[in-house]
Amino acid sequence: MKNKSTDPAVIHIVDDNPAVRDAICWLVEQVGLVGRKYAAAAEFLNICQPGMRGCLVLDVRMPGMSGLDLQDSLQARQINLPIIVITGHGDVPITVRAMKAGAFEFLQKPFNDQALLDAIHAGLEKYGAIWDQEGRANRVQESLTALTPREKQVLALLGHGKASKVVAYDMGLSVRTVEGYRSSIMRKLGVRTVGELIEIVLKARLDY
Amino acid sequence: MPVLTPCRIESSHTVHLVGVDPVLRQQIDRQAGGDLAIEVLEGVGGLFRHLEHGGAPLEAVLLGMIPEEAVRVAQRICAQDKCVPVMILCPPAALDGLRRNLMFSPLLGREVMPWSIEDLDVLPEALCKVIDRRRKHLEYQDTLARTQIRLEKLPLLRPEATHYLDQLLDCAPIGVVTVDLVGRILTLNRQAQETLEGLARNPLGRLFCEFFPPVARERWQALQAQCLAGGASRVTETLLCHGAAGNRCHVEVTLTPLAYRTGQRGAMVILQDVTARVEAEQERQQAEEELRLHVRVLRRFHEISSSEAVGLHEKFNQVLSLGCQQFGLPVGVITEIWGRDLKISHAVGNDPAYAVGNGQQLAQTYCGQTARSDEPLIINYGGDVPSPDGVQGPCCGLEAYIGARIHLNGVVEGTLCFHGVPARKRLFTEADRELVKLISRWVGNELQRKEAQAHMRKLSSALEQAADAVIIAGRNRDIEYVNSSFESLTGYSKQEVIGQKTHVLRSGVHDASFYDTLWKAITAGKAFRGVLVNRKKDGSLYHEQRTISPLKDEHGHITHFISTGHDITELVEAQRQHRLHQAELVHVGRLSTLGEMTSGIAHELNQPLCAITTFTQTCLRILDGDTCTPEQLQYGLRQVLRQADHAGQIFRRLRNFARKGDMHQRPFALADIINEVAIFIRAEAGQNLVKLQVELAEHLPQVSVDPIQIEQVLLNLVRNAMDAVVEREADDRRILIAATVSDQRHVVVNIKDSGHGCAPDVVDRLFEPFMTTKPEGLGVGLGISQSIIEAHQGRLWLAENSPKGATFCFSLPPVEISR
Repeated sequence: MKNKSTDPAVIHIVDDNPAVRDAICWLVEQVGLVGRKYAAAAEFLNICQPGMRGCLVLDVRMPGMSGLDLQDSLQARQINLPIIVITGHGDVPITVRAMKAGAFEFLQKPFNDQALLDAIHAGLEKYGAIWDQEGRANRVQESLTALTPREKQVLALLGHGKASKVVAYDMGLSVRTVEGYRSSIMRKLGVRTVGELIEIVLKARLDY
Repeated sequence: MPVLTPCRIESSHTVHLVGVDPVLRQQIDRQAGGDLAIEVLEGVGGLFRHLEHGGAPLEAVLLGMIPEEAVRVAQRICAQDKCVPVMILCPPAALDGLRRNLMFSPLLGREVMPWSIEDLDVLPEALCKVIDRRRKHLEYQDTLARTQIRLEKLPLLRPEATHYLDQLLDCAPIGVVTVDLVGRILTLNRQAQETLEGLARNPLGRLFCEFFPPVARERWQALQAQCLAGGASRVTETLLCHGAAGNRCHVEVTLTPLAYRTGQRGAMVILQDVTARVEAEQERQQAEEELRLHVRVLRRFHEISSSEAVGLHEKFNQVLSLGCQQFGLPVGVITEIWGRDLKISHAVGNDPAYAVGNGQQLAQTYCGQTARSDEPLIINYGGDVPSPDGVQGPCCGLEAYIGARIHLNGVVEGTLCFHGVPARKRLFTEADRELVKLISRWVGNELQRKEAQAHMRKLSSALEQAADAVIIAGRNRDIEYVNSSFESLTGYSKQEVIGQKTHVLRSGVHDASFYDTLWKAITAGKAFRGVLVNRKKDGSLYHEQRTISPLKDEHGHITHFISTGHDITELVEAQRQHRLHQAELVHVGRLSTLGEMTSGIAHELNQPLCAITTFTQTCLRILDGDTCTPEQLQYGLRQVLRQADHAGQIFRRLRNFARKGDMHQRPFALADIINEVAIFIRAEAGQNLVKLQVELAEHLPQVSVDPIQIEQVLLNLVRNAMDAVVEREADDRRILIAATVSDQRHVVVNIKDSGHGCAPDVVDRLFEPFMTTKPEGLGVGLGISQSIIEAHQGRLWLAENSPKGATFCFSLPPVEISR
């Protein structure tokens, strides 16, 4: 399990204006974050990958691929990042489009540093929970792959809230055997109570 | 025949030796002693030369060559002189042969004989004998000849001599007559008969004086008396007589007293026909007389023509009177030719038919003929020549006429003529012809001068009255003349400026090099045209459109400069106003462009502003924190400074662009202007995702421009292009600004876009004012752009238009042309 307080979050800054880029980068570095600068949307798109974390500070109006296009591409690649859109133009249509596409925050240049940092932190916090959940789900998924087929059958039945006895009856096994499977599953998935187990099953949207 | 050759009587004998051996010669010499002189001739050639070129006759020749040769030489000697004794030396053995040879050889004289070399001792003696014999022979011959002449030839010669004398007299080119004391003709020769008419018919015994006309008779008798009285040995007189052919002739008579052996006294008369001489003398005298007359007329003519006191009209009348007097004719007129008619302009003679103002048809007068000919027309007897109207007989009854045409500027203006009804007593002479020619030429010149003077008066009054201010200055720039317009324009009076240098008008607005160029041009013979700013007397300045041209004499040397000009201050002011308005309009156009660009500019300014804000806030944040280091703050503040600088640049450009153009053109590199505009527009292009490309040819010539205005033109065109391309997809938005050099060294700027092109119905009206396709456009951009480019002597046009895009072009002349 990753510890977000020890690993500083990476802030990806995409802006065609080098001065603005530098300023934001310098600002975030002063508050202990890591800044990465990109002069164009395509540049960022090249290095991003699913599961990456951090925050994206994006200028919407750029030559070549625009910020909105980048937003679409990220969504398509299921890359979940808090996106803080900055723009010199406070034009409504762009703002609406950006927010609809899931931008986390919208700031107009020139912006207050605190507002930006607050937005970054808020974004990181919100997406941190999402990323944790995702991480857990991923881990459950990984653990589930470690289960034997018999254990998976048991887990599926347990997930439906059936008692061990009922499971044993349904599967034609002894209660003791089912109990044995259950403790084995709980050990593999790292849960202590059946309630947690059921929660995992639901979260993982296991569909057996 | 050398019959009469005088014989030389010499005691010594001379013999010439040819080809004789020197040994033999010495022998002969020894033998000869004092009697015989020996001369040696150089070979046979020397001998022949002596003979044939008239040397002294040889007394004797001794030949010493071989016998055959000697015989030939002897033959040749004898061909010249048969009597010369020739001795041929030969050996004794050959003596007989030689003798025989001589006997049979032709062409030899009697005195050629051989001589044996053995008998040299007696040779000189023999030679002397031979020579003596020859001398005697010659003497005989002479005597014989003399006797012969005395006895036989002389009596025969006498009658011949008298005959010869008679013949000589008869053939002599002078007439010889002998007369007795009374004057009767005793003898006369043929020439005398020919000279005097009537002498041919038995003149002997008649009185000589009968053959002269009565006038000459008395003089002859006086002459005869003078001669026979014995006063003078010879008297000469020229008498007039009737010649043989019936004409009058002059005879020079010379009388010499004569006494015959018989005691009869008389005179010899020598007659010589001197008609030609006398006539020539008479002609000479006549010519001299005419010349004298002519000179007098010319002197009078000169007096009249150079007289200052009388007017031209009076001069003409005086000259006409002079001509009448000279030619002895009653009427003298000067006429003018008007088309086919003749009009009398001056007349003397008081003949009402030829009064001033009278006219006649040209064709019916002698003057019509005169006007067609270079030479004067002379008519001595009008009845003898066909008259101009074709009717035989004198024209207008005029028997005597002399006239010449009058030229004025190379055109026949009229005629000058003198005429009279009765014929003159004597014929017109060459001198008359020349005189009438001279007078006509003078009249022509006078008329021409009069016309020129009138012309000059017109010109000078035109100058004086001209609305333009006129200055005439000498080569040294001294003002010699100004007209009244000049006075009223500048406020200077004539008296104030005449004699001054032209510098008095200088305002100080033009520099020295300007005047240098001006003077260089006009002293090189070219005219200067241009606008000068000069200063009036009251100190105010005025603009003047001035033309200065050099005046040249007939040799092409510049003598004066004439300068005409008029005040164009108001025009200049109006032009300035127009320029101001134009500049105002251009400025408005520029502001409108700026207005349209506000959003782009705002965005561009926003970037550094944003960066500045962020850097500053971060600095503050660092200061608030506990780990603040100066390096960190330095970095931040430096960035702030840079961005503020950047923003400042943007503002400067904006201000530059928005400021009012002053319409001052100066040489400029167009590349700089294009780059500046590209920077200015790049932000907007970036925002609109337009790819802006600039391609400049190397070594673009400089152009004389107002950079602000050209920037505006470029900006207008590029922004139009931008508006065109944003209708395309983002990938397809391209604008190219290219500058090249044309063949004429004009700089051509192309603005090519990838838009959809101009609609056909718009193309024709592109440059009209207030023509726009944009909802918020003013429609002044292209029109203003065009007027700006034209004010730079350039051209703006739509070079390409298709649905794939449009290209606008403008060209500007390089500095060297536009100046």
